[in-house]
Amino acid sequence: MNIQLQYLIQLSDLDTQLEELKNERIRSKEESIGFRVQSKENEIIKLRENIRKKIEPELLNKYDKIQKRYKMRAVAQVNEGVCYGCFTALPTSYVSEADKNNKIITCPNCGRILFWIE
Amino acid sequence: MLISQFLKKENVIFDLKSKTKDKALEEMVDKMKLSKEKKDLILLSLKQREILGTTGIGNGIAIPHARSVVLDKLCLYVGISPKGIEYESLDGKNVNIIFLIIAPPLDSSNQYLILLGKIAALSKKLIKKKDYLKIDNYEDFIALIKKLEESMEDEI
Repeated sequence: MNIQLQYLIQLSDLDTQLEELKNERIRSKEESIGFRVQSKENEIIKLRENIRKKIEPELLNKYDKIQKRYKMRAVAQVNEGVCYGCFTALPTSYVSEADKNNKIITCPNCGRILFWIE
Repeated sequence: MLISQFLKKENVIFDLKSKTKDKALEEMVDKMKLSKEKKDLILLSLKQREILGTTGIGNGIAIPHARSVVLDKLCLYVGISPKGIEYESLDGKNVNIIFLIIAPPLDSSNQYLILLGKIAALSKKLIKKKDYLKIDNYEDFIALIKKLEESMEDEI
């Protein structure tokens, strides 16, 4: 797997979790279960910055633009030929087998960065 | 939705060797039938979640959970450590049972949160059965989980 794609997934997973915990309903559900969500703001910023530093500026720019547009989930999985960001089927010969997860590919419909789970 | 339906035989580990939180998470993720790259990404996601707040909810229970784009469906794993794991829990006690949940970023019916809630309720009942740590085989374990689930249904 492309190492840059791995960093992008790591960043996307972190941003998804941060976004969720900002959601009042989800946060209160977690707290009602017994989890404590501490606001270690500095640690989170440091963690996020460390991942971001590893990503090439051009890709990071692309990630931020998508993230800004859709609020979250700038990286989407492709499951049975469908982008799970916008739920549109990708054109049949859009990506060669060899390029899947080895090149940075974006969805032709929504622009999200794609990751093939199969 | 039943917890027992998510627990296949290969998803339950009876004798976790690890003594610390990080090692225990590594040991459990390592059992997953996924490529090394996917395992690494899942582990990172779990560790990131721990930084946001410990998932050791006390009384020997931990429910590490995270979302990751590398999975297409909700997965549940259980790890048991009769000796206990240092987990930085809320009550400072060692952890004896870990319920590990990984979910894709998007699940339409929000199964993830529902499962989290159910596991928290079930685990509190489970630890009241003092000898649950002596269970060392899947059949007995799943039978106990099913029994507890039934008793929870009755309460509703």
